[in-house]
Amino acid sequence: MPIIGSLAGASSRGLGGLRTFIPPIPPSSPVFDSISTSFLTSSTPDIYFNSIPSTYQHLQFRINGFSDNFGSIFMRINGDTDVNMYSSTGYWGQWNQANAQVSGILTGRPAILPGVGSFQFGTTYPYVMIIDVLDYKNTNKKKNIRSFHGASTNGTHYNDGVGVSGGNYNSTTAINSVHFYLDGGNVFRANTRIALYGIKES
Amino acid sequence: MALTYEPIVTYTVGSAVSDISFTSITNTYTDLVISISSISNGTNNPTIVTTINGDTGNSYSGVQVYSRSSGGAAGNKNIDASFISLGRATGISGVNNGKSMMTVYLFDYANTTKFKGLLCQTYNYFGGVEQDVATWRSTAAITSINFNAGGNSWGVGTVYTLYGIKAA
Repeated sequence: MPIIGSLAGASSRGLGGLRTFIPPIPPSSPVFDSISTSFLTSSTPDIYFNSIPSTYQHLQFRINGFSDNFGSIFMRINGDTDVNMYSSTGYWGQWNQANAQVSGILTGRPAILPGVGSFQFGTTYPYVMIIDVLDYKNTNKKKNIRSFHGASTNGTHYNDGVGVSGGNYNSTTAINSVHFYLDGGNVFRANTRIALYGIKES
Repeated sequence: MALTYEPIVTYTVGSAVSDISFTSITNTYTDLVISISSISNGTNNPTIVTTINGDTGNSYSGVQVYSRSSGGAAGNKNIDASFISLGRATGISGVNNGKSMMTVYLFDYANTTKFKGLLCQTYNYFGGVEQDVATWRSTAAITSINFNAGGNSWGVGTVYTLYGIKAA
């Protein structure tokens, strides 16, 4: 626990206004575990998370990505390529649009599109995204994901934007693998990180 | 057992402050999360002026989209800005003593080979809901971050917490 026990975590500015310093109390057991991470040192077209354990209630992917030439990210589940199994939707704001935009329901793709809004991984500016996969191992209901995502390219590309998306995998099968790839034959560049976490229920 | 997602430090505001800062942030984690449960100390709701490592050059850009209780949905962008604009419409309430919530996600903050990206979500009952994205065009590791409340300030009872997340 770095910093704890001192005020090193806070600026001296405003300290006079601080009434209470509350040391965190570590939980007795972790509820948010790091399962695995893919951090790229060279380009690759595919990032896989296989053999996902069934010991959690929910999953979370935290993504900080780059591509060679602007590609939209897709999320394929359990290797299923059936275009009838996926749908996606979202709303977003984009740098050249004054108002928020909505997508409607997007179908006909062999994977979930978690970054609805045409946002694409760029070459220099990071694309950041958090994907939650809810009740991923439940075999009695179909699977849903939600994502929060965006990229800011300092106005250099129409890719500039932020949004939230939802996706559906029309299957009651437990999720045991996830495959991320980019459209248009683009590849993930070095420095891309996708980390998978598991969230436990009490 | 080591924790993956842990609180680093938490503060409760005892008298109104215009700046909330975290400094001397260690490079122990992969991502950072900052939550601010705020109480407005005024009647305006300015954008929250956010700077990293004390950088006030034109190193920032961002996009915001928000749905307001009045005025409908809208968006905004900043390029070559001297700060990150967070919670432009909803980060701090325009109603005195009004509540708002803000969560900031900083990715790969300690990496020294790429620009830094962040996401932010804010909400307040009188203002609406908002999502923001921003980039700090620097490859330096983030060691400090400051949130300035513009013409408003954070009132008594505001709680802010810095968390660290470790990737495997």
